[in-house]
Amino acid sequence: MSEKGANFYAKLVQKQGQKTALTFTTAPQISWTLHRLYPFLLIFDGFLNNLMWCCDDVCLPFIYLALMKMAVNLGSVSEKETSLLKTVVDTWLGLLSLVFLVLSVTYYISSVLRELKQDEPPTLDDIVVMMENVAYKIERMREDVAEVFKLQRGQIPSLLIVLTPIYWFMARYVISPKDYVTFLLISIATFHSSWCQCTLRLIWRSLFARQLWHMICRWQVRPHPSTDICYNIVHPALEINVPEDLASLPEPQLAVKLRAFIRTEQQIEKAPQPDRPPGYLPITVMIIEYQINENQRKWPLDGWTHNLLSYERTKFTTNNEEGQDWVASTSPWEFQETIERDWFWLDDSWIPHEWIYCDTDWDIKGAKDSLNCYTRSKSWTRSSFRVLRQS
Amino acid sequence: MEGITGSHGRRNSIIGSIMARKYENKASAKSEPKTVTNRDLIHGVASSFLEAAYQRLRASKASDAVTIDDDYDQFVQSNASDSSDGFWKDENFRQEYETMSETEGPQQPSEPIQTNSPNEGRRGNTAQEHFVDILLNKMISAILPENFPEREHFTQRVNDPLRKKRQKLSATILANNLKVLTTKLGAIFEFQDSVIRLIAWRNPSGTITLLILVTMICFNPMFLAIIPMLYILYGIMVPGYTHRHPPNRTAYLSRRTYGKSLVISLTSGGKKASWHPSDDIQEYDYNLDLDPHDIQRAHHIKQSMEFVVNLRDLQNSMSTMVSLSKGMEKFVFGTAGFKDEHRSTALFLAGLGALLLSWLVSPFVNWSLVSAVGAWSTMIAIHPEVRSRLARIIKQEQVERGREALKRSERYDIVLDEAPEVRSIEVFEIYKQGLVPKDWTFLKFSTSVFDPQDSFRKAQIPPPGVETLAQVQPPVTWAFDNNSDWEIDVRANEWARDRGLQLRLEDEFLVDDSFKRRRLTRTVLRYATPARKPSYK
Repeated sequence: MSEKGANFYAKLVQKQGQKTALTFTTAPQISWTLHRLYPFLLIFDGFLNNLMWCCDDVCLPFIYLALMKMAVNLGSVSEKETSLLKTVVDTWLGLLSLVFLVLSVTYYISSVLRELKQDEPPTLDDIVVMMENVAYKIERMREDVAEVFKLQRGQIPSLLIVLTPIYWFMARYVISPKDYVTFLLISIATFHSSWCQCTLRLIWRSLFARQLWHMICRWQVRPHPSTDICYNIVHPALEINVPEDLASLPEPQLAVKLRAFIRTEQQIEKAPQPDRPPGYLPITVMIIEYQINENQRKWPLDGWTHNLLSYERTKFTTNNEEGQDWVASTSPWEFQETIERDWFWLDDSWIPHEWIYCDTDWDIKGAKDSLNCYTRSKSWTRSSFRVLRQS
Repeated sequence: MEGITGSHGRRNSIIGSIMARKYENKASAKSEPKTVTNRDLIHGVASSFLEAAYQRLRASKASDAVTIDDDYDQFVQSNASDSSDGFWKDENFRQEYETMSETEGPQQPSEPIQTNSPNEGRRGNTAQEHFVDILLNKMISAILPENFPEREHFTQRVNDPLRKKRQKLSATILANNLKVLTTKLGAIFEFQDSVIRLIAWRNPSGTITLLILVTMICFNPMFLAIIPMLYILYGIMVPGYTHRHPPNRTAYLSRRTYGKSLVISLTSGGKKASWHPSDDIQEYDYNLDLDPHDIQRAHHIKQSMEFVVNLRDLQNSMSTMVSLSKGMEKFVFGTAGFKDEHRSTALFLAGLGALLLSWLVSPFVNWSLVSAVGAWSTMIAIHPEVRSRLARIIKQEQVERGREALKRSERYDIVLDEAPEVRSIEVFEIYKQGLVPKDWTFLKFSTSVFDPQDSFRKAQIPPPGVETLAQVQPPVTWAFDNNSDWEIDVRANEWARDRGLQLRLEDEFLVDDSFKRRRLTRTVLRYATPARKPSYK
């Protein structure tokens, strides 16, 4: 098979799981401390397993959840409408569940301790592996939470403003405290399960859900496409020597002639300035460069198109100096018509640059399209100048 | 995945080539007066079916008026073609199957060569023939009767417009369906096993979960619709998603799990068996060095083994079905058919009582609570530990005594005293004339009148009968009324008229030229007609 020039496949990096033995390289005090820590680690790992629903038996977290839900009934204030029998049964079941929960926690802990005693003592590697496991799980949980609260500092107040009335309304009129606690309990207990995370991820695939999320949590006032295009000042004041007869021309004609001089001036800029030849007059110009970014998104079926999500960058954007990373703008060709009268184009046309490929959040990934690139943007630049001083 | 499709595809092609080969055989058999085996005939007929089905498909497409039946047929047809290759190609991994087809490329041209030279091709194919195919071929030959209809006859029936609607019976389709089903049945048998495990408390947490779900359904029947949907979403779809995008929730598999759960320790009823294979746990693939060809072969072997295991399970479950149907039969024709009248009457009365009671009581009972408590108590009662303890509490003697009391009540509380059905039976006492007109000798007691028109008389043989009255038996299922005796019917003219006999009367005798007879009657009784029987018994 291999002789016929069949494809040669590289192998993935695999953790081989082998490490240098830690026993002799670790200080006895640390080993001792770790050894004392081991039961706690095991118990904590068991707790995390239940919270993340990744234990061997996924029915157990469900049973605990059901027990907790029943125990919540215990805290409910008995309302006048409910019958006495129902209250008694609820209370009895709730008490039973609570006791059972407490008992099972104690039983678990004691069984861990007992089994540890019966078993041969753990090696240092076992302890380290368990620590890594625990750390890994905590990291996963942190990521889960971070995914949801990937908010910027400015967005938290707006979130509060939007959510507080809704929250107040819900708590006041829609759900009772018992239901609220139940809901909170169930959501906390199931949030870190892989299937809940998968559900969230699958929901996140829907455009509608994203729009809703942005509407609630990240709403920002976006100005309408503006004609204030961001520009870089290339030369605040560039002195150019022009023939005297040229310098006396009115501004529009002068500008047309001036273009060639500015270009040559820019080219020889780096070279030492020659003295002004006779019969030439200096004219100071200010050169700026406009930059408009064209944005595209990759769609699985259509490839790169200008079809962008409603809350992200528009087809043409320009950089913004005030905090915001982008401002919607008009297209370059539309913009070039609206330039002010005392500004003159230096370049003949807009100069396109290479595409820059980004991930779905517009974080730059590189100059080439890759599997993790879902958006790209390309800047169009064009310089213009203005005659500042005519001596 | 690729391995399955690969093997599947090849198997299909094998079947196809076998069928083609057999069809060829059929054609040659037509021209020569050669005996054709059943198997060949079947395959020939099957291929003609396929052709007919294809024609029908085209016709229905042309007419554009598609009935549901046609639509289903189309679906079946198209489904068969769909399952071949295209479906399993993954949009995200184009390169994978492109390279696969590249590697398989050189194999493909060899097939046409084989078909070009039929002898060689046949040899090649028989060498390749899967043992499953051989097995199925054997099965087909075993199922078939010896005198299978001729092909001409069959095609005539195929063309009958009325018969076109339904899919025809074909052993190949049947066997093929069986084969396909058997490979897919694994999930069903696994489900069956998991249900048994749940009921036997061998997966205690699963049983409790099930009970909690049942309780939820009891208190809010809406869950009956919600839970299946939840299952589809989270039992099938999310695992599919987590398979493609693993969430990697654990870094390492721990060497040993410490600690026990109180729930499980309390309720464990047997050997633990894990229920859900979880995709969360990332397993390291240590077999990366293996040749993909080897993996495919191993996969193939595993498939075949699974097939055999599934076939065995299918056979067992069919045996279960058979015994179940036998039990049902016993109930329908025995207990419910009043075969044992005491038992059936008692059962009916108990059922009627329960029905009335539940009807009357139902508005006053909280059924959610009752069914939930019932479910929990039943499941707890059948827990192995509890069951043995319960058995200890409820002594065998008590059970025996209860059964005895039940029997007594069946025996003495059920009064079976309906008046039996009363009918009369008749026999004819036939005398033969001797040499002298007044000389009669007793011939027989017979059911036949033995008049001149009688077929026995015409054939000149004595009628069927017995010598003495004691030998006369009542009709089957009937019994003589012990208080009645044989009586001579003195009104001979009546029964003669009734039979349309115009003969001479002599006292109670009806006399013709050489025989005379009189009619004897007796009362017979019958308590009940025999119990129903299934038609095939």
